[in-house]
Amino acid sequence: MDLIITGLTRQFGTNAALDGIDLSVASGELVALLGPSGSGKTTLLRLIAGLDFPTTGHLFIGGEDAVDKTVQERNIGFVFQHYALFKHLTVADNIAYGLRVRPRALRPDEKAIKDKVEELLALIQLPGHGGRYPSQLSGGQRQRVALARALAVEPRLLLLDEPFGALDAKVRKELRVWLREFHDRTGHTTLFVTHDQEEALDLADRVVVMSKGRIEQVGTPESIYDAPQTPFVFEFIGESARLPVEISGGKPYLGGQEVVAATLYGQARDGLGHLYVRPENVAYRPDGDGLWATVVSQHRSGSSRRIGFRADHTDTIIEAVTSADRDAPRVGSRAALEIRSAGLFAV
Amino acid sequence: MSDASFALEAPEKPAAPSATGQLTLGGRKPRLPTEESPAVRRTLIGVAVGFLLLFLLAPLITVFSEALRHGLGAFLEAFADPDGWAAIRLTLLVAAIAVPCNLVFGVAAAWAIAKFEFRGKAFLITLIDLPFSVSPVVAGLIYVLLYADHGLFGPLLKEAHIRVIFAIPGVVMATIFVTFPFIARELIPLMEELGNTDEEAALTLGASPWRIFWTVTLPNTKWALLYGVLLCNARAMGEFGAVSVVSGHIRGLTTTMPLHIEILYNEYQFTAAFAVASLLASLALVTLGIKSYLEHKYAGELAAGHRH
Repeated sequence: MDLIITGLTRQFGTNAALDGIDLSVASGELVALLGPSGSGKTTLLRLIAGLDFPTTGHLFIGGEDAVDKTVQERNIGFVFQHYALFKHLTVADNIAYGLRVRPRALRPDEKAIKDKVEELLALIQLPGHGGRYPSQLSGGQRQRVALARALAVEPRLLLLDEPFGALDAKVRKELRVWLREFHDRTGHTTLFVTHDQEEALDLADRVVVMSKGRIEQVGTPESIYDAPQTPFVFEFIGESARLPVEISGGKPYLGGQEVVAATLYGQARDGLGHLYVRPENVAYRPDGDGLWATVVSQHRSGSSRRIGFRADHTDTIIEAVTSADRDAPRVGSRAALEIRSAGLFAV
Repeated sequence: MSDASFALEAPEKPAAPSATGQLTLGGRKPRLPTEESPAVRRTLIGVAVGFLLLFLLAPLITVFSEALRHGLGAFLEAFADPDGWAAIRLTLLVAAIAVPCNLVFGVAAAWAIAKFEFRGKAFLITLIDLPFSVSPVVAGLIYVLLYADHGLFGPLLKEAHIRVIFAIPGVVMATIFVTFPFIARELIPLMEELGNTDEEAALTLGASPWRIFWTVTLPNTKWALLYGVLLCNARAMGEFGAVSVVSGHIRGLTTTMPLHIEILYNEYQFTAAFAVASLLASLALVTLGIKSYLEHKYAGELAAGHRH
């Protein structure tokens, strides 16, 4: 089911937790809401679910206006960060809960419920675990049970709040791969909230980057990483050096000399600005044209080597990352930097 | 395997060198920095146990031994007194009314405090604690001031031919006042810790609020609720001060067991007084027994309830 959000605002007192959100999610898409804590991403998820209500704005689920509908009427699958499994019920009873609470006329018979539970247990790869209690499961297993419970009611949208937040790194990775495959197989329109950029970039079809209640950028993981549209996205996603420059005619200048970048993007009017450069977009040579700089540090980190340069006419350190096989330049030596891609934003 | 066996042996390692004479520490067994010396330990345990024996266990034994001093016959004779039976019946009646009332009030108050934010919440929490901090005698006097013939609501009640003070309604009300915090106080911390997430999960699954209360909130809080009810019941049956003020000590009508015991005692009927007292103490012991049994039997589940 598709989702369209227009002008959604949520005020808490004088404080806007969400400020004019516009977003469309196509049917079957897997979308990540990514942002630091306090960016409003969880508030947005709760508004979509109906666990909270907007101050203004509209929300259409499958073409129907959902703002005035209760949680129950919206038929949403919601998976909570700490799973929120019912501790006193077995795994099977947890999964069946949403079916058993239906009004008699809509409730499947007990046999159908049992079959559905078995089917879902197989889907989450926990067959035979129906009789256990949540406390007898590992974190990753509980998360999958919570997912099965949400899916049992055949929701129109699946919403996941920090689905891997409470798991350790290894289980996180495994479950991430599993969820991607699971989504590809079942095709639910899914939104998940995360503060982990790796998770968002790895898993989602599209990423919504949020900050201070606003959407900064929406796009594919590639476009978010390769072409951040705002300084916030540049600083929040991946690593980058921020070089103070002067902008003239849309081009960056440092000490009166143009800093040449093969690809340059951003919205820059003339005046003072910042040039954002990612380490993997910096190459260096001992001679030739480019931005001249002095090597100030170098260290090996696993399979790669990181080299710090101080460009002439600035104190900012620009990092380059190369393969560890390549010989490290001597600290203090000079090099010409070639910038393949950079973002330029006015201050 | 080797790691596990090493870990098992590790705590005993410090003892080994002293056995081989390499490091003797003056012949003493080395102890952990957080462990007290045996002398301190024995003194502390001795003081605690001695105190309990002297102040708690000895009186309890005395109650039963005094009750049975003149044999089982004299003990049973105390219960042949119709006033005694009336007191027992009244005590059970008062508990049977006060406990369910406080169950409803307590759940409602705990729910309001744990699940909502509202003005005056801190005031409400303080108010719930009031019966704990106010002397029961004062509580009783307040009821007299409000509901007696010359009290604030006295004329109104008289017109309606309702007697509160020196009658059963007053005894019940005073008991409710005194036992109000027990259930609410048990529930509030637990409900606050649990938060709303389980209820929200049930909402997203389509359950109605009423259904959520019965299938999620109540099962999540049932042990705290049961403890609260047990404690509330024990206090309801044993309350003396507040009830004493409002009851008027009308024999066979408004005397509860604790009041009846006092009357018997004041009339030098020691055996009878201790017989009724032993019954009251037994009710308390049964309550304590049930509580311990539940704690023991459901220890696993209670612990699991605190994990996520």
